[in-house]
Amino acid sequence: MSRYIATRAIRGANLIVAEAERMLKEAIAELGPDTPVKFTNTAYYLPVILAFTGREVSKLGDLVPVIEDAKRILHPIPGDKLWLPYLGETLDCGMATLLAEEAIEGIRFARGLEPQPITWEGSYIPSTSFTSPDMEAQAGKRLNGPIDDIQLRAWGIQLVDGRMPGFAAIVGCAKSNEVAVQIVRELQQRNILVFLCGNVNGRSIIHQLMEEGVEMGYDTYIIPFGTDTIAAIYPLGFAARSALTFGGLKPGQAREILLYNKYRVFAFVLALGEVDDLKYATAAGAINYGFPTIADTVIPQILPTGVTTYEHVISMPFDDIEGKDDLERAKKLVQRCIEVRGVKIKITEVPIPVPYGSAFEGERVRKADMRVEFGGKYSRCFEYLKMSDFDAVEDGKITVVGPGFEDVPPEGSMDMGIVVEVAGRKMQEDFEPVLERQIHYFINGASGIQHIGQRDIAWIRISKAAAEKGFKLEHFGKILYARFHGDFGAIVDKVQVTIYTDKAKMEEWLAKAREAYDRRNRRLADMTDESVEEFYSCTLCQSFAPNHVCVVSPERLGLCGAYNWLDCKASHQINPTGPNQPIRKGTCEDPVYGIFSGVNEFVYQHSHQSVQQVSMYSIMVNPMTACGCFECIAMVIPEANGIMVVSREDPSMTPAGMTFSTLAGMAGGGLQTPGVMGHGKYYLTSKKFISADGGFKRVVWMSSFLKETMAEELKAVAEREGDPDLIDKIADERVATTVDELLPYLEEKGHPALTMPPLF
Amino acid sequence: MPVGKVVFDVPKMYADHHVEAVRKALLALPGIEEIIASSALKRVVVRYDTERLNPGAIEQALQAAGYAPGEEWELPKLPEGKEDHSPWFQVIPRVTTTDRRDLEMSGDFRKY
Repeated sequence: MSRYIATRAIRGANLIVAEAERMLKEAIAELGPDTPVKFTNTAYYLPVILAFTGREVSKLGDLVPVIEDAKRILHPIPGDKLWLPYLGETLDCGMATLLAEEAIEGIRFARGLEPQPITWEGSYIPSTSFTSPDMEAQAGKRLNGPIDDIQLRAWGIQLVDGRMPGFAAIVGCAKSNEVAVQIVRELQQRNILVFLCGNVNGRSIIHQLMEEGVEMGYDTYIIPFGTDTIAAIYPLGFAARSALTFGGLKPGQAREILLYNKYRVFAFVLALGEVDDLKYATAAGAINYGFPTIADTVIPQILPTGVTTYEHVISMPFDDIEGKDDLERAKKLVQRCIEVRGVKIKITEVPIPVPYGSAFEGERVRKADMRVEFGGKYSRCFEYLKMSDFDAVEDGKITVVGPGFEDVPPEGSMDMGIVVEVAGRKMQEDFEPVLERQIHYFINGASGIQHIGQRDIAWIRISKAAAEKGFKLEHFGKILYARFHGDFGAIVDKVQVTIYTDKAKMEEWLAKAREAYDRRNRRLADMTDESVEEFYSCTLCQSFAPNHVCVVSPERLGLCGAYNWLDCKASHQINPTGPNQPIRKGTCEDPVYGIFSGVNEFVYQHSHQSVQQVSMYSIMVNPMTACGCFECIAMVIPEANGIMVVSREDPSMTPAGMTFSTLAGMAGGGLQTPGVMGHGKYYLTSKKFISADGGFKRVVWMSSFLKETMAEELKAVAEREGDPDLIDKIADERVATTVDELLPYLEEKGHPALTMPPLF
Repeated sequence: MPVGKVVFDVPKMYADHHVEAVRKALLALPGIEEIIASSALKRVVVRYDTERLNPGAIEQALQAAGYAPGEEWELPKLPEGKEDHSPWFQVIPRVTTTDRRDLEMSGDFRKY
């Protein structure tokens, strides 16, 4: 253990705890102890404090015992002459630092100073996407502040399925803007979340990226938290909440939460520029989580393994890294970080002239930056994937039939059709829509390309920057060829892509595609739970929620919305030992509640004996558990004899007296809570939606977001239920956020739930 | 324009949020040419226009912002007898002996 690091970290911890105490006294004297302290849109109070001490901080006065906790684990600064083993003391002080830092952020929130304001400079266009809905009005003027629960859950599925291998907390300022961009791009290409904070001499990597016009926000996986080191508490709060949200751990289980992070959350700290006392102290806090620190300056190292999987602290002075230029050095620095944390990354090389990776999936191409678009308002675009005979497919053949976009004026549009023909011994017609849906993710992965929609309402934009780098139509084919082979190699042996821009040919293929879409719709609609012998499990999220097992049937898709029965079937074919295993239904013990002996056995075995019975069609009796990635939460409103359905996108209050975030704590973590259930949006349209409890007619309240985005589908459900006006009878947050407001509304509209048999 | 340079040790500037505060205070002065504030060294180097500014005014600005050169923060008094009874020690049992496996695993790293 380095005495130098221990001294500086312990001193930093003592100083920051003293500062937090001073700030708290001033704030209480000025604002009063009852002044609310609340991070944006989270049910986890101040998450680090909650996780490690179990204290629910909601007002300034609640921070007083937190500071006392921090002081209790402080240690004296090591003396000059007496050398001791310091690791334990340093780690304790690291934890005290985190408590103090979060307390400071809480005080700043109470004073309205967080999220931190910032002046936009350079060519950066502020995005509204990285602020929480509450903060949207402030978008462009403030940094992100803490990540809200909505985003944490939205990323959940990607974190567990390996698409997002971990996160990098970058603190400080890079050698140059060019290096800053290169570091971030390297991480983005590996789909690693990039969290930014800190500064050196007042300049932060956030400023550097802004000046270079790098789009920051939730969509691009780059989150600017704040321009000081104290903001590093937000990524650590994110990590603590991962354990609480997905790991089923309870506040106060400090040791388990730290171990959960060590083994399941692959994160590291990259310190750019000089390292001061507080940075050492914060790094010590991160080491508690098992997160190592890599510095690009000369600092002492802590090499033995132990608390972290590999080295604790690594020094890699930037100018000493071997490489022909700074860009290559930046690349090597990132590679070293990944190696030190042991982040597992799977990359498919895609031979196109622009960077490629999932982190570019959410990138938008604005009209002013657009070179050309296909689909949308002024043109048509479709995509169609079909299975063909082995001999009819020439692997790797990419053809463009018709003109390229070279003659289209800038910001113009043109028609295009993408036809992918695949062949494979294990390929089945049922997999066509599953594979076709991947086109969206595959194409979106290219930097400067935006893909929206699917089938014959696809809409693709190519940015000017991508076109200048040489992106052409044939590159769509190259992306699809590489990714289908890379991701679906187990079922796809040959892939051939044809891009049609020739009008006559395009119309011809569009007609063929539409026939296929109709055929698929009918096939999927006809499939019922009774018509199959097997359901599928999804234990993908067990890396995060160890006791949760999702049971996916034709009439009940996975709660994350990402996997339906066909997806699971395809996934099982691709990876027979993977997370989607067939579940023999066995004897049907109760057709109304959907209780099957095979399902019960499987769930009992795979939930580590924590769940004994699951009813597929009930919210009241042994409902299915949830990990934390659910799109919606359904909860019983006893007074209304019905249920409410709140969507992840809805931050408003619900008649249950809780927001989505708070409810999620009850519904997630693999717990079976009668009356509460996490589910996918499209389960609402299923005939089996809580059919044992009365079905869709029980829905008395629903987020307006769902009503609007699923208007057509819900209308069809209402008609199927024999009450075409049912959707209008369902309240939403615009008319009722309390039970007192809800009941008169339901009575006025004559909602059927009021006259249905009692729920319990 | 004659440019002067002055260096202050500012022990209170131990972290980058203090750097921001120090820079903000100094940038408000007329005649500032360049500020290099290092929280690692706890030192501020200021280059300034000697016709418009003098070291005394810079020191005064630092003092007004709460960062008087040479002044230290007061550290918290540690609670007495904290070992073993705090919640932290109850939650995480402390290991005070070296695990044999750790020794074997550390191997060559010992030289560091």
